[in-house]
Amino acid sequence: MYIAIGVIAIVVIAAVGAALMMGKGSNDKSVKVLLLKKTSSSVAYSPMDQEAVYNGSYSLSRYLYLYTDGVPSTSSSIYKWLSLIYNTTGQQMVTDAGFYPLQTSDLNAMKAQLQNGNNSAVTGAFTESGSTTMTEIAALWAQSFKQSTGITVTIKTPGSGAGIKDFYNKIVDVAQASRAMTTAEKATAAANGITVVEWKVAVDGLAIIVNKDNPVTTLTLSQLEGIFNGTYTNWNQVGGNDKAISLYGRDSASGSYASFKDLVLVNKENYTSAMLQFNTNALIVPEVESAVGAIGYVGIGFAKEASGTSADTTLSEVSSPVARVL
Amino acid sequence: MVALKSKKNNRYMRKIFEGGMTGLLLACALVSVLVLLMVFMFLLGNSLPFLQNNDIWQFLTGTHWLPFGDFPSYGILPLFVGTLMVTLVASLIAIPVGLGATIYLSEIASPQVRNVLKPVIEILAGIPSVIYGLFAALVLSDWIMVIFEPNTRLNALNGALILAVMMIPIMVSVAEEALNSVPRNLREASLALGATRWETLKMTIVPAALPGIVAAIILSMGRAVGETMAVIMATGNSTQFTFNILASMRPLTAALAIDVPEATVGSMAYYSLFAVGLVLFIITFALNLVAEYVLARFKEAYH
Amino acid sequence: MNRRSKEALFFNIFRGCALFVVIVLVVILGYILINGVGKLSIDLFTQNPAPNSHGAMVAGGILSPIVGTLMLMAIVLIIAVPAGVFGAVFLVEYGGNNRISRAWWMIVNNLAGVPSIVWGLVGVGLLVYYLNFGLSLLAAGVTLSFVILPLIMVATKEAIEAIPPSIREASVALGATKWQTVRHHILPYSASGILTGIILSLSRAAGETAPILLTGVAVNAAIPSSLSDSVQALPYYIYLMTQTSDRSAAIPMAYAAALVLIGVIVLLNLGAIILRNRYRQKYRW
Repeated sequence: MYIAIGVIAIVVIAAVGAALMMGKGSNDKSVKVLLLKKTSSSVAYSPMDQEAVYNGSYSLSRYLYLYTDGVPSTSSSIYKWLSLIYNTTGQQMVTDAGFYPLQTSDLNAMKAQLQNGNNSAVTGAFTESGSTTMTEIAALWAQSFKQSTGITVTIKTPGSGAGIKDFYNKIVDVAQASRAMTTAEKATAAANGITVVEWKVAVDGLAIIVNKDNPVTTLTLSQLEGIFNGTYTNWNQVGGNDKAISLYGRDSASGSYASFKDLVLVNKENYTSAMLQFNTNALIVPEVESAVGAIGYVGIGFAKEASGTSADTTLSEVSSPVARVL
Repeated sequence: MVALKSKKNNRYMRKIFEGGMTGLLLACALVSVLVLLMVFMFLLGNSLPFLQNNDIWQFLTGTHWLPFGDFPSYGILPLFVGTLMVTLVASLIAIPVGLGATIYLSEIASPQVRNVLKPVIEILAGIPSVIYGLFAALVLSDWIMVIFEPNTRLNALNGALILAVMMIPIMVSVAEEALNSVPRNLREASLALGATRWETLKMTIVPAALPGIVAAIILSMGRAVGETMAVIMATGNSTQFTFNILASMRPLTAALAIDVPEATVGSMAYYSLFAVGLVLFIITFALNLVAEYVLARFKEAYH
Repeated sequence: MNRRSKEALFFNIFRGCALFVVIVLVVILGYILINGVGKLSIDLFTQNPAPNSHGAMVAGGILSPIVGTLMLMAIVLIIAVPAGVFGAVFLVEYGGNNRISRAWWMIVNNLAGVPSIVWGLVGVGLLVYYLNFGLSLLAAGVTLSFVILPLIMVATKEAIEAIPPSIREASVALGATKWQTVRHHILPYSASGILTGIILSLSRAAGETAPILLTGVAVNAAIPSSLSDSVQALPYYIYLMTQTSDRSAAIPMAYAAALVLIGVIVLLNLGAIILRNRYRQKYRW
């Protein structure tokens, strides 16, 4: 009897191993990043085009933010944290994670805001909570910060909305968010005695990704809106094959959920309830890879990795606003 | 005289010690009683502000679950259907397979096989739900993609299948106890009258153990209803109201895990989530109550 | 089909069901083993999770999740075990069999079946905000204790009730006080059942994610140096690895952590079985 069980176990494990070997072969899956155009007659731009993201030609550009209580004074550890973020090391880490560093004008504005701070409340370790899109960037910053100053910054990633909430409830010292705080949130913070100071720390272009086998390469903003509010349910309504559209997005605690909604669902409607909702960007990519009719939105850092382009874009590649085919 | 006095002292000391130990035990009991009661009151108390200010009928039958935003909508029907569909489909698989395995384990298997099978069941019962979720998200979903070709790789079927795997160990352990409690004389009488082992099982033992088996089914369904991590990783969590098992759904437990981090304390969304927690609590409470009632009747019949 | 072949048919179906269950376990454990074993190394057990060049927390090892899980189990051991075991002893021995005690045990049984996410919800509202524990190891540990407390009480009650009343009666007839009966007769005889219950509850605590997810975990938490620090834990690390970018690196780490977690749980269960057998030798009735 034991022999029989042993044989069965060996056979099953062998089958499992074989399946894994086969699975490894299909590792050349990837996704395709769509080009967006504002109207059907305008030029289409890609989020991989750094200049287009910077000047707004790519429609889904946004900032990534940190929020603090007041401007930190030079003795505060938060001051040192922001200094790291705004010097070349910190901005290089933004690029390493696949996002875009701040443009010079924004960088100078932020550095100016960092002057003359008066809040020295936090001088040691502190906690930063919020956006999952910024997990990678924040982790790199925190590691470098620990190595250079010895101060521990704990990063929590329950989502931008949750992080902002932790921030104005004074449970954490800094919020990281992939969307701006709303006026209501700022009011609640003020009511709790917090002076909200907004820090732009990086630039992101929300990338629309589709399955590699989807023939569609470009969408207009209104087509995108129609897809995500449930008006279009089949790819043949937007120039593709006869295939049902399946949608992959973020959940409501996410800043990307909110910023995408603001940028695309401009008529204040809700996402279609058929959209699958995920905690992080990274979960959306494998779903889009595996379903032919899939469409999803992710931060540019995640789209770069998923579509197989390197994380570094040099400025010399960006010259014309014409669409880049990848 | 001295001996008598010291005996009296001894008894006095013992009484104090006895009282002290009783008091210590009482303190522990009070701590546990208070904690559990407080938690229950907290759950109830934080649901009230929602239930008092919102239409309960709309809450239970509304088809849009969107607790945040400018125009929130608190209908839990899609969530309830999500829980219902994954639990139902999981039960359709887990009940026959679980009962079959139980009957084999308790009636047919030789002692050596039993020594292998029982630890297998115990290990399956002990695997944490996040590991089941890992398997469902990474492996099971691909298999479902190949076999059923759903539109989305993560769907309710994925959740139902992994829940079935999680339900089976509970069902087997409780049902096995039930089958083992059937008195030997029933079994022997049936065999003596010429019935085959299968006929004995079908017509005597299983009917006799039926209340215990029913309790096993209900308890395992309770596990399925209450499971969070595995379904969150497996079902895709869309809020659509659908009965299509190949579509993505969001069970009640997943809704709590997804929405609680963002809810501001004191907001209507916060209270609505406690109301959802209360609904979950009531469902599992009702299931447990029925299972206990059935088991109590069963124990009465045989003891 | 005659009666014999009918029996053979059905018995084979049942045999198939049992085989299916075994195969499921072998497949799941097999996938975890094959995918996770490649990542087992000294580094895995001695380094904290660290970001790789892209920032994904897939480099380093799982030291802080392992230690975090152990710390959480320790908190549960300190809070839930005494309150649960001694509380249940009191309620069974001194509580009597009246309506109140029956209602109480009904509540405990039901609380044992409450979904762990509901405990997480309560943990957030009660511990993080109302009692101001903040998002901390303490909040996560106490929430876990809420989950485990009813389980330990039920296990203790069943272990005590398995003792035949004759032992209790004999002890009282010989003049022992209530406490002496408990101390010298009830506790030793039920000890194996109680210990098994404690160990199984601790292994359950090691694998719970939902209660700690909302209350005390952080992506880059190191080993906590105080109760108000954030903590990492093996189940949270596994969950995190399934949703981190750089999947070709993250997924094997998830499997490796799953392998370690299952290893911890199997060790605990084995310990429970050994203890149960040894106690059974010592205390027979």
